Amino acid sequence: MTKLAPFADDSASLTIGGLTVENGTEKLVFYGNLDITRDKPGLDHAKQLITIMQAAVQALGSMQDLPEKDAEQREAPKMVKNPFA
Amino acid sequence: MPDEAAQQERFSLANIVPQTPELNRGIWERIETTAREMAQRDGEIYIVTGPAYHGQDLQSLQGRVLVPTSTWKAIYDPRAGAAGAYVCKNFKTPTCVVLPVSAITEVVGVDPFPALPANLKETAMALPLPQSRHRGHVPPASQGWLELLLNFLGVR
Repeated sequence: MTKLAPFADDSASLTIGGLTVENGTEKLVFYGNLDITRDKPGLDHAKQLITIMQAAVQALGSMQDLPEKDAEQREAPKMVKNPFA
Repeated sequence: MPDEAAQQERFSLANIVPQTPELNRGIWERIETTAREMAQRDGEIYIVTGPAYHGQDLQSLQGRVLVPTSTWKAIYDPRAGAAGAYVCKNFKTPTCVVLPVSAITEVVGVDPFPALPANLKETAMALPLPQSRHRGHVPPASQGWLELLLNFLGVR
């Protein structure tokens, strides 16, 4: 399993089965589908998932300055003239 | 399989463009899965991905990063002896079309596969059209591809 330190960078990405996990300094994103099957691969997937979740909880829990509100709203995109047009 | 260096280059900021979550986690993710399945089935495929910027104005993130109006993925399958390209709008409700590789060259100005013969690039291979679970769909390219792409991108 690739190492991914939640909120440490904007580039790390890993997959657990069909689930993609993308790291970001502002958010950790999960998307896709993951079947936790009743077999050894299922156990392995469940362990990987809980490892990343535990790391996320630990990282957030250790931050002193957690904002009350969603970080998404802070930097709205601006419209600029298309330099390629 | 890509080697370690190629895996790392994937994360270079020079190789990343912003996509809407609806595109990136929806139909684009399914196109990437489709491409992976093709590689597993046919042993080897070549993929070139890039952005396109159309229209008078563009969105800019933090005053530094321009948001492409669409992203494209050209695929060459040597075993099938065919190539084609997906072009997807980078919108909140993303839609994609499948076109010949030459359409990318014509409209975006990039030839993803300079070494391939022209006839191969002028016919779109029958790329699987993944249906997005969330939003977006792939309409068939029945009309003339150039017209279709220009209309699709809102250039005309």
